[in-house]
Amino acid sequence: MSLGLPRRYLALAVLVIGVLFVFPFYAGDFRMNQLGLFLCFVMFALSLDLIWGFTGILSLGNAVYFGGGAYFVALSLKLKYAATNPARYGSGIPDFMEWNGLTAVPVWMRPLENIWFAAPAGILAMGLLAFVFGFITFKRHIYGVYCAVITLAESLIFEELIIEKQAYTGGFNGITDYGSYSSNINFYWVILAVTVVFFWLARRITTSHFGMILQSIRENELRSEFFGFEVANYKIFVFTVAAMMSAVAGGLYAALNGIISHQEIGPLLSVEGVIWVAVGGRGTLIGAFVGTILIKGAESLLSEQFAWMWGLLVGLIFILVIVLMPDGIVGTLLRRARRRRALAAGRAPAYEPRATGAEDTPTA
Amino acid sequence: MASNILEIRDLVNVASGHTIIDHLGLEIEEGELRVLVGPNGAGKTTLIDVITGRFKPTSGQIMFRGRSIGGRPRHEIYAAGISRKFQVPTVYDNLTVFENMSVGLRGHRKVFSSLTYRITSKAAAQIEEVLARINLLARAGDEAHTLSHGEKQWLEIGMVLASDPQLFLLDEPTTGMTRDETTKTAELIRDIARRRTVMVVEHDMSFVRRIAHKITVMHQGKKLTEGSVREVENHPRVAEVYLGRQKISEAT
Repeated sequence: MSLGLPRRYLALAVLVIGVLFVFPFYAGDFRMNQLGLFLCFVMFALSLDLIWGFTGILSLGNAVYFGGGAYFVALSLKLKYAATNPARYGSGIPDFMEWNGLTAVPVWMRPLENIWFAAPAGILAMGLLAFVFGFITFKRHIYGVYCAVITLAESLIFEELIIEKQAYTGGFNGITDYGSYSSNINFYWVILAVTVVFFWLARRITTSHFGMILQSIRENELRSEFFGFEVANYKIFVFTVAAMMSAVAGGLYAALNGIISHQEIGPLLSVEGVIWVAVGGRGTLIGAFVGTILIKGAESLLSEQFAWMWGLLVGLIFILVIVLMPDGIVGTLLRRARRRRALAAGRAPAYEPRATGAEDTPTA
Repeated sequence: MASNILEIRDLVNVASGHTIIDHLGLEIEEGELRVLVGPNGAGKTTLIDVITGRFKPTSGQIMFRGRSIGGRPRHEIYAAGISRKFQVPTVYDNLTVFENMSVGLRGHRKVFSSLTYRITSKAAAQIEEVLARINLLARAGDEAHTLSHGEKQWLEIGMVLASDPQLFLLDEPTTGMTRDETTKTAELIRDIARRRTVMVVEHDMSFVRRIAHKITVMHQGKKLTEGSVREVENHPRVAEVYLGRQKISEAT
């Protein structure tokens, strides 16, 4: 399997996957768990890269789908855990339900007790939500900064909903104590495998003719419309696929982390995803990986070293990368490589303006 | 007598209270090369916008080969066989010249058919043939932002050609071109018009003289006159509306 990569990057990809595979043997449980969570964020960033980096839709609501997938899984595990651990949950229902005056799990929630139903249901539900939301947004030609605002609102609404409906969601405190898959090397490998599959899938999508049309929409939506493409349909499709990828990432995250809260569904994570993709290089799939691992890794290492100023340092890294490399790390490296090849081929490297990415308004 | 590919009857377009197109009638025959001229604000670009579905007609009819297309969605109008080139070169800057062309390529417009479509060697040959016609074959692998302004204009013409329209609408294709580029563009458009119907909006009268046999002059959303280059140039009202009192032949 070539992963659809050019030969010169294939060896690198195999090496990175290999290192990630054996990482737990050398790094211990703590770092393994951490990296597993980071990989979930990588998938989240990857899905955002599909809609923002490739299609030019700046979504500030991508965490809705990540958090949605996470809540389905966390709730499912919690229901099961409460029902099967009478020593801790005498009543057999989750603690937050009890505190809110429920005496039994609501009938409509019962099917979620089975994780093999709940996890796929969560993914499908998020796909459906994204489809409906995308249909309303894109069919009405909402684009650019308006799209960013409406997705931000989406994120806020769902965060508020999670906090308000505490009898069913654990409210502000989120859902905890449901038994997790942390320190489980097999589960870490599952996450790694899903990550690899998602990269392969994203690569397939973006290198297909469909992917070319997505990029044409990013570059100039109006031009593509007058070439007979129903741009809204393309956007709805990629938005839905990305949402389902996010939901999978969120579900795995919840199962590994053992605690989830409204932060995983709100604007904060949504915006963080945008930063990871921007640092790595939007429109370059691997940039989602590089940006996320770099920022999350720096956050983790710096917070262990500098108790209070780590946030500032991470912010500084972000600003430096964006100022010095507006195409992101991978974007800039690819651009340089292209330049070198052009020079080697005897062609003058053309003047290269900075990438434009998402436009606020279609030109012409 | 050839039949009409496009028939516009009593077309009105009102935008935010202003009448941009005012009871316009226009007929274009199959295979014709028509030039549309007129001072700024005459409604030429808006006319293209209304024909291609960017704006809906306020009233009136647009018939394409006997089928009413007025107010239909853009993709339907495209599918019927109408493509346009914008005034400002509108290409995909961060895609290569070849990739730009492949987006234009006719067919595979639906999401699921484009997911499975792979460019065939026949399609690639077709793209290369068009690239050769627009002098961009050597630049096929370069990103479009590296092209000069004139080359971008040609690329967009090439993309529209790849979409194989029956009716090709060009909005001031020589904007910002050097004299040499303008000459080449005139040749290119004449060549294109051999196999399809073309309507060009243009300001540059030397260019118009080079390509046109029939000219329609628009003024304030109406058709002022129509005829050969000579007839139009000698029309008293044309000189009057076009750049004040200056004769149209000097207005280049």
